[in-house]
Amino acid sequence: MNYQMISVRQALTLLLLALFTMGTELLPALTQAGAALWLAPLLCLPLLLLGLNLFSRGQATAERRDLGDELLRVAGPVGGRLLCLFFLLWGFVLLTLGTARCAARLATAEGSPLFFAALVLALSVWMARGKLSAAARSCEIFYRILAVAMLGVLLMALPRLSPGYVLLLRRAELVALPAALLSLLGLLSAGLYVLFFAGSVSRRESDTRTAYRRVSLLLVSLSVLLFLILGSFGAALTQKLERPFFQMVAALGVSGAFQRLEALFSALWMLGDLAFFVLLLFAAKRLTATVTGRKESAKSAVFFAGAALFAGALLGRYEGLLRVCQEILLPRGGLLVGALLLVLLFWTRVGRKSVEEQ
Amino acid sequence: MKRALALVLLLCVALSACRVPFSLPRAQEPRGLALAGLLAAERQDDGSLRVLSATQARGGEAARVYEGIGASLAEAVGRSRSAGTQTVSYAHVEHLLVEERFVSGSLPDLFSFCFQNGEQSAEAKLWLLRDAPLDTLFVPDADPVGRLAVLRAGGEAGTGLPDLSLRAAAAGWAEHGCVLLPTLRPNEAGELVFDSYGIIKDGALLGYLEGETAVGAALLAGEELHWVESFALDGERRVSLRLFSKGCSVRPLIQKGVLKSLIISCRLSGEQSEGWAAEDLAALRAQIERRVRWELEEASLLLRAKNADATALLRQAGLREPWYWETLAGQWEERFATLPIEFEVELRLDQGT
Repeated sequence: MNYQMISVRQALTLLLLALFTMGTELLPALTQAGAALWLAPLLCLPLLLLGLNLFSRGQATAERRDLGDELLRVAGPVGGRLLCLFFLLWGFVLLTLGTARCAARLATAEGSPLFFAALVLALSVWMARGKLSAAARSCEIFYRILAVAMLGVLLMALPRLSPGYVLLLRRAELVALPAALLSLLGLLSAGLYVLFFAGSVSRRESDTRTAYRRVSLLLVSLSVLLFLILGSFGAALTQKLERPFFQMVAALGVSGAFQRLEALFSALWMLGDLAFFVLLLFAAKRLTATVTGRKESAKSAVFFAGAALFAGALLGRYEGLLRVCQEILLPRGGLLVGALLLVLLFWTRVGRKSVEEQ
Repeated sequence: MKRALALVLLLCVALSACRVPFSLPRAQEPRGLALAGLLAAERQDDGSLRVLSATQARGGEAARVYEGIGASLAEAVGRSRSAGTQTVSYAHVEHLLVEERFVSGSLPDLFSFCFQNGEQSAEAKLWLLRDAPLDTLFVPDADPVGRLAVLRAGGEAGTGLPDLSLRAAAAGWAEHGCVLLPTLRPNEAGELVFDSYGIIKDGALLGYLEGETAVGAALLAGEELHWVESFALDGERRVSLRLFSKGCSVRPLIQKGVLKSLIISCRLSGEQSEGWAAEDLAALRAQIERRVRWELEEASLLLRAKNADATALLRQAGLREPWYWETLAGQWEERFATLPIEFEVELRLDQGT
């Protein structure tokens, strides 16, 4: 048994964990759709399911390889390496923004916020040095912890909902939904980096159904979460808040038993950051190997994590810049990069088919 | 071997917490902190802000009071932190009390301070203090936090008028620009009692809904509360009833795309709690209905005179007719003050046991 291999279920759990925690922080900032924002993930669901269906069709038996290797094959050694370099750089941008986000969330009045971000990065480098299967297995455990935490939030936040804030939608908000949908897709496109280590994901017959279930779970839970945030603060106040999810959690609690849960949740969310970093670092390791033409080495992960910590610290000093990056660069850039990735994926598959036909 | 040494060295540097490139976060020692349960703010004559905070009296220990003055709320609160013999923590503030002069103009500042600072819980209750300076409450041996906790418990149980959380107030202010703030006033004995609702619109205090109109406003907002009212039958005999409101429904009448009127119907049930069984139920019913209708009408008249939809009638009407939300929201601003409103009271009477 090859311990470097993970199952599709594990890969999806890793994605679910990474994207959900990112979504809880970044999605409420997509304010253009106002109170209708919670519909965006639901609208996104059929699109993604259709995409998955197209992607998995006729692929069940085909041998799967890393996207980086495929690009080398289709676009030639120079073109392929340039493309990989581009994705590597974007991956680095994602890693930097992730670090800055993690640091900003855990910032305390005293002491440097970077301490915890550095801790999470160090942990993810350590995981990236080891086996992918071990990292994926620990993400499965983290996923259960976060699922229980979210269930608790759901139960406690439900009684505080004001349905008037979420169920009444104006035309302008509905018209803005497609734009919010695109931003959402842009944010979720970071998940496509899993394709760069697709060669380590083993496939089985029942995987398609698992994939449908996990993707639906991700989008439905994001939608529920936005529903809770908008329902308890209203769209107008949510726009003004810096971290609406954590402020909502801060207000939850059972009086007399426990209160002020935001510190706990900020800490729990580090597990999601960890999954996100692990995803990017494993992809970065493979991509670096492809670009340099050498064997995969853990040194590249150390290098990227260190550079991201430095860049994240720099970015953290300019809060306005970080905000612009998170609200404009990340969704729009993500959309473009994601679209490019999908086009290239399609190209590699067409290329392979024509080879097979010859 | 090398690796283990490096690891130990790294651990030592991290634990020493000194002269590492970044300072380590420090945990706060809860024993050294005074946990304030109440934060009160007022505007002084020279325009500066003064905050007073108090801990709750526990056992034989009296409540402690801390004071801070500054040009802004953040500054004043910051000063009050280190004003006493213990550092004050505002992480467990349950009540925010603001005085009249503070509330007109500074309410948005309070919201931004509380939400950006993130130390106060968004579920802290917000109260307005009427006709009294803050100093009257913070006298020796007084326990304002304990008193406010009683008022809050009454609001939550439905026996008093409902209180308002910071979150609901800020959401209402951001959505419609107006809020009804529960208002307190010290009675002769110096204890805080519920007085009225302050009408806040666009950051200004426009007036108060007192007595029965306060009940009317709570009913209009769809709150579920219960209270006791007494009625005179045949001139002499008095009967007391406990009235339970089950919420209001607000039905908009829209004809040809134009909002014509509102029908507000309030569901109540009454239970006789004093006086022997009334024989003349019809007369009693008529009296109750007349009084509740009057309360509703007065409250809505006062609110409409200020053009302040502080009981969120618009959203209630919208939830009733969600398909016409665009029409409703578009026409509300200009139509609200003059809109004909019909009030209905649905009463179910129980004779008690």
